[in-house]
Amino acid sequence: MSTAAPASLIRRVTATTMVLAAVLTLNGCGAGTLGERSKPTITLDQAKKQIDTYLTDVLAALPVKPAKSPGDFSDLECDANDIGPHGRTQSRREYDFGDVPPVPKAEAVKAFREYLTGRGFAPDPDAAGSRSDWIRLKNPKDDFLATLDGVSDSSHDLSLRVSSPCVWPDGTPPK
Amino acid sequence: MDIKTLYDANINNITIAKNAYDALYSAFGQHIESWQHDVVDRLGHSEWTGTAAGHANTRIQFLSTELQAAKQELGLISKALADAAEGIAAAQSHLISALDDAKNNKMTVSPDGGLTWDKDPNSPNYAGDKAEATAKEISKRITAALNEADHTDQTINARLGHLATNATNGTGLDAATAKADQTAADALSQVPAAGTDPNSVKAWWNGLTDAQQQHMIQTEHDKVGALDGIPATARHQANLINLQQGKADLQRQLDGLGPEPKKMLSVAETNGGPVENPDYTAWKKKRDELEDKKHGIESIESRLQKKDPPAFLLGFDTNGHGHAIIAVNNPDTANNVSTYVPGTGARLGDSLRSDIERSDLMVASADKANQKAGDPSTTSSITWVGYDAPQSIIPEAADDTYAKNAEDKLHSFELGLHATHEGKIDNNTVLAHSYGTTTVGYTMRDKGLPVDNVVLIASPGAGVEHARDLGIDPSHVYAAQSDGDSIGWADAADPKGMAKNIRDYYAEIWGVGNYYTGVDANGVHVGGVDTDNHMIHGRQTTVPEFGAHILPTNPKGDHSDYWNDNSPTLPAMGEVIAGKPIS
Repeated sequence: MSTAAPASLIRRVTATTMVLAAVLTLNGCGAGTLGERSKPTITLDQAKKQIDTYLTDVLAALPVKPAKSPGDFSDLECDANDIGPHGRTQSRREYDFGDVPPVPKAEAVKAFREYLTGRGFAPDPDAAGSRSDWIRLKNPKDDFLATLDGVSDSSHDLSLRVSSPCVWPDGTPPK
Repeated sequence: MDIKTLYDANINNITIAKNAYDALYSAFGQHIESWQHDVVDRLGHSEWTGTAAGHANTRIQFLSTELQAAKQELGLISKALADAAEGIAAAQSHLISALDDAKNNKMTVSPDGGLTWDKDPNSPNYAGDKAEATAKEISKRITAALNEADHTDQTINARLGHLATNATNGTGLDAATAKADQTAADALSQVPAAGTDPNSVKAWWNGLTDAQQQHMIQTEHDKVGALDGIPATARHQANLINLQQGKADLQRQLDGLGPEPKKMLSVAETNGGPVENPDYTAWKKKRDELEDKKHGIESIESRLQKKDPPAFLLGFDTNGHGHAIIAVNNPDTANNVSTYVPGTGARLGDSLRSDIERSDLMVASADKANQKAGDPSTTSSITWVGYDAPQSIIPEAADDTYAKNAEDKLHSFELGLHATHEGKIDNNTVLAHSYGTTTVGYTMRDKGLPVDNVVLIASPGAGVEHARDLGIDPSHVYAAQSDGDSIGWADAADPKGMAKNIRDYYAEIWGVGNYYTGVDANGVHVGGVDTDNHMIHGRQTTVPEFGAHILPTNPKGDHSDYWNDNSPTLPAMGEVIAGKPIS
C-alpha cells in the first residue's frame, strides 16, 4: 500500500478537526444571534403592507412619477446557509422612473432625503460609502430600508425600492 | 414557407412518393436476388476458370456489393420521405389549428400572417376586449408552425440532397458510404449517450424534424431533459414530464411508508429503559427525506407558475439528494448568461427555494445595471444544483471529493450553454457561493470553463493559489467575503497552509517580519503585515495575494447575507453579470 492513503486520512481528520473547532466557536459566538433570530416579528403580509405604505408615501413626496406599475414583491429567505433557525424572509418592492434628467433627479434626491429623515429614517451605517450610485436610508425603529438607486448623473435609470427586515412569515418562529 | 404553401401542401403526395420508393426498393431487392441467383450463382457453378474468369468473378463480386449499397441508399430515401410526411403534416396541423382559432375569435388572417379584427363593441363581429392578446398568441402559433415546416423542409432537404449526390456521383455504390449513411440515419432515432460532446448533441438535435424532436421529448424525456446540448425550451418540456413523474413517485413512496410506528420503546420491551424505537427512527428519516424533496418540487412549481420573468427547468431528478437546474429567462436567447453554483446543503429540498430566489435577484440586479447604462441587453441566471453537494459542514464540506465529482458535469453544462445559444453569448459568468466556489475553482483548474467571469462569494478556497490559475483573465476574477462571515473560520487543514497561517498570526501580533509589498488586482501599490491566509480548500480568495477583484460587502453580513437588500454585493454581482464596471 502506498503512503498516499494515510496522508489523505490525516488530511481529512485534520480538516474535520479544524472545521469542528470553527463550528464550535461559531456556535458559541452565535448564541446571541440565534436568540435574536428566534424572536417573533411582524408577519410577511404585514411587512408587505408596510413596504407599500412607505412606497406610496415616498412617491407622494417625490417630484418624479414612476414610468410603470411596480413589479411583484421579491422575496428572499434569510440565513439560508447559516446556523438557523430557518424560514425568515425578507421582502422588497420597487418602482422604476426610467431615465430621469439631472435636474428633476437632483430634486428627487433632495425630496427623498428630506421626507424620510423627517420620518426618522437615517443613513444605513452598514452600507455607508460602499456604493456611490444609491442613497439608502433606514428606519431604526422597524429596520425597513428605503433606497433611491441610480442617482449618479451617468445613470439612465432611477428607481425607488423599499425592503423589509427579515421576518417570520407567520410572525413567530416554527416550534 | 408562407401560409398558403403550408396550408395547401398535399401530404398525401409525399406519402405516395414514399410508397413508390418502397415499391422501387422492394423491386430492386428482388432484382438483386434474381441477379444473384440467375447470374452470380450460375457462374459460380459453371466451372469457368482461367484469367478472364478470375477477372469476371472479381468484378461480379464488386458489382454485387455495389448493388447492396444502392439498395441500402434507396431505403434511406424512403425513410427520409416518411419523416418529411410526418414533419410537414404536424406543421400543417398546427397551422390549421391556429387559423381555426383565429376564425373562431372573429379574426382575419392575411396571406402574410397579419391579423385584423373588428374593434367596434357595437358590431356583431366585435372580437372582444381581449382580442389583442389573443391575436398575439395566435400570431405566435402561426409563426411557429411556419418555422416548424421550414425546419422540417431544411432537414429533409439536407438528407435527400446528400443521398441524391451519392446517387449522382456514384459514391452511393460504395459499401462504406452506405454503411455510414445507415449509421447516421439510425443515430437519428437514438438519444446520444450521457457525456456526449454538447456540440455533437446539438448537431443531432438539429438533424431531427420538429415532429421527431417532439417524439423524443415525449418518449425519452429522462434522457433529453438531462442532456447538455439540447436547447433550453426542449429540456424544459422534457423536465416538466420528469417533474410530474418524480412528484408522483415521491407520493407513492410516502403512501407506501405505512403508519407511523410508536416513537418510544417501553422499559419492558428494552429491559433497560425507554429508548427511541428503531423502526420509528428509520420511518421518520425516510419520511423527512421524501418530504424535503417534495418541498424542493413545490419550490420549482411555484417558480414555474410565475411568468415574468419566465423560468425554464433545465434539469431534474430525485436521485440521491435530488438535482435541479432552473433558469430565470431563456439562457439560449438572453444576451448575458450566469450560472449560479450554490454550496453546502444544495439539493432538491428546502434549500432550493432560496437558491432560485437568488437567481431572480441577480437577474433583477443585472437588468438594473443594464438599464442604468441604457443597455437593452437581457440576462438569464441559472441555479445549477446539478451536482451532489455536501450536505453537512462536518464532515462533508471539509471533503473536496464533492467538488472533484462535479467537474465533468459543470464543464459539460457550460459547453452546452454555448452550443445551444442563439449566436454568441455576450457575457458568460459563473458565480458560486461557499462550497460552490470550491466546485467551480476545481473545475476551472482541472477542466477549464468557457466563461468570461467568475465570482467567488464566501469561498472556503477554490483549489488554487492565484486568480490566474483559474484559466481566465485574472482581471475577470471577482471575490467577496464580509468580515462577519463565519466562513472565515474554515481555516487551512494542510500542514503547509496551517504553518503559514500560524506564522502570519504571530507576526501580526508581535508586529515583526512578514512585511510585504506588492500590487493588488486594481494596480494599486500595497504593503503591510502579510494578510495571506489559507483556508480549508485553498488560499483565501479575498487576500491581495490571490489577485481577485474584491466586491463590496456589508461588513456585518453573515454567510447568507450577500443577496440581502442591505448588501452592496448584490448590485456588484449584477454589474459583473451584465458586463458593466463596478460602481
